[in-house]
Amino acid sequence: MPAAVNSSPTPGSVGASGRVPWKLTAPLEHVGPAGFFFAYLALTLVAPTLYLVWSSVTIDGANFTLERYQRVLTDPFYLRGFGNSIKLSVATALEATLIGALVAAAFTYAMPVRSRKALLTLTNIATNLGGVSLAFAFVALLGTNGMLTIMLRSALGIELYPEFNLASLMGLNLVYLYHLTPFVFLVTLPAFRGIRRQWIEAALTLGATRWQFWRYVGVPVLMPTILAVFILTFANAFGTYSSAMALTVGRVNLVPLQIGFLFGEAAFDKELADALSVLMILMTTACVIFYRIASRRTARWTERTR
Amino acid sequence: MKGESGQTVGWDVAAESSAVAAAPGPAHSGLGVSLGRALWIVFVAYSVLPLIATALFSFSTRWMTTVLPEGLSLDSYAAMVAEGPFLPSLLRSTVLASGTLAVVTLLCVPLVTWIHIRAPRLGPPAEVISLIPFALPWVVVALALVRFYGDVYPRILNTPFLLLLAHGAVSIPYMYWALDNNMRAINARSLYEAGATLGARWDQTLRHAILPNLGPGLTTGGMLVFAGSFGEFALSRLLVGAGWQTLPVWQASLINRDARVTSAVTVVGIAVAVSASVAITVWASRLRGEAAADANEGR
Repeated sequence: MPAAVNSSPTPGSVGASGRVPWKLTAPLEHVGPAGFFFAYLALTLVAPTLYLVWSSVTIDGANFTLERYQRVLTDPFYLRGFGNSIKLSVATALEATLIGALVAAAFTYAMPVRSRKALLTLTNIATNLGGVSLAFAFVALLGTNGMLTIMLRSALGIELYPEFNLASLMGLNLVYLYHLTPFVFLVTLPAFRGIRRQWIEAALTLGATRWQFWRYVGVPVLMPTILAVFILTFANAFGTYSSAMALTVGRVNLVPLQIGFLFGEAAFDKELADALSVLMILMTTACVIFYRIASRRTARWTERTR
Repeated sequence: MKGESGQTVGWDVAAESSAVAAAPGPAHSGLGVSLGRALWIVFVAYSVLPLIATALFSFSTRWMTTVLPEGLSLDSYAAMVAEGPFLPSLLRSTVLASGTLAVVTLLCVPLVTWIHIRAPRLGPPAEVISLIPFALPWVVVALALVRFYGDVYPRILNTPFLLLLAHGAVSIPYMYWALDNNMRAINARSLYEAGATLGARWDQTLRHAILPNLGPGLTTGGMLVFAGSFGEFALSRLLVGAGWQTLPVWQASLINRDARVTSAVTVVGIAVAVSASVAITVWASRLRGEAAADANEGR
């Protein structure tokens, strides 16, 4: 039995109360504090989102229409926004997943155990840094007078500007990567923990090389997780607003930024924002669902059981 | 019993990462190891350079052409403090983050405790529902809130109260997963059953056996929630904007106007992120320590 109890039960208590804990005595009692939790989420997220979806397909609360979606999907400006967002998100997700997974592998198999706490703290910092701070930190590094820009200019004679601009898709790529790679790393790490040492040793005793182990056992087992993490990272990148807004202030055409700009607009544009948002919701929700399914498949192999 | 496997959904990055820290060690030599370490050096450099650049810039006087700043001073910080909006926005962000932490804790602690002790069957639905905030981009959350409450209860629009509600909603996953992993690690259900067989009431077990062991989960989840809420920009800007300017919103308004003050404010933001991260990693190892002690006792 677990020994983590800090103090023993109060002596002299006569016995458990009359209720048997694991029987359903009453529906309300069964729900308990969960009721508050679900009610809170319903009021702050579920109801508003459903309302948004509903209002995006109705006029004056009565007639069904897909007119706004039609407008959004035929407007070259918003199509370009979708194109940019998808391009940027796919690119950053691919890069972050690749690098992050490799970093997780290196962490598990190449880094000394003593250094792990420090390295984890560092990656935590990178994920906890707010969007605006991140944006400015990159301005300080790669802006027109950023540290790296100046160094390249004065020490190596390389002039980054004007070919390179931080407030562009390429610049955003770098900024997103900063936030997404540690995210991928932290989410992939548990999967590596599931690759048992015994599997590696068994393969090696049977005459395989490490490379063969990874090629035929390790990577296939991890692939669902990595795929799932890619999808999740894509959703994360797609929905990013803060760092993009702080860095480009609308000079780059991305869907979250467009929604943000439509916020204070006149009434007829609000419906456009609704349509854009619902499209975003569809994308990101599909990603999360896919993530759940795929990560369960890996869990099948890597879950420890006692 | 599932043991310390936790979830493949890594929101409670701290608990997972602390478990990894104790996992089987690496090889000691070979090409793979060298490549791996080289990769980590690059990764660390990439992570640290922007922070260093910001800090250096905030302490510099003139820095236009030379590799390193021409001089060092605290002028940026003096200028930041002298700015009117600085203190109010700092206070607002702190109050908001604390409020978010309180709301999320009040919601999640009873829920997670309840699920682990009384209603394990609520576990999977609660897991799924706690993923909802992660599935919704925050811009969309802001729009949905404005549309919904604009029609249902307009008086709440543009108030910090609405912002607090929103922050609470989107921060729930972090606290939920931290507490959930904590509960699993201390095996709350067995504690409860042991307490019951020994004659304790459920609230006695709660008070004496379970709640004292929630420290790591509360701290790691709490720091994630606090840091996240403190540095949050999208909801703050779109729900209340300039009417109730939080630190990141003010910071963003400065970013193209006054780089010096912005750098000082960014260092403040970095400091918050660093403190939170250090606290997370320190406390997460306690979670690992508990689970390891239990394992050694031979469950």
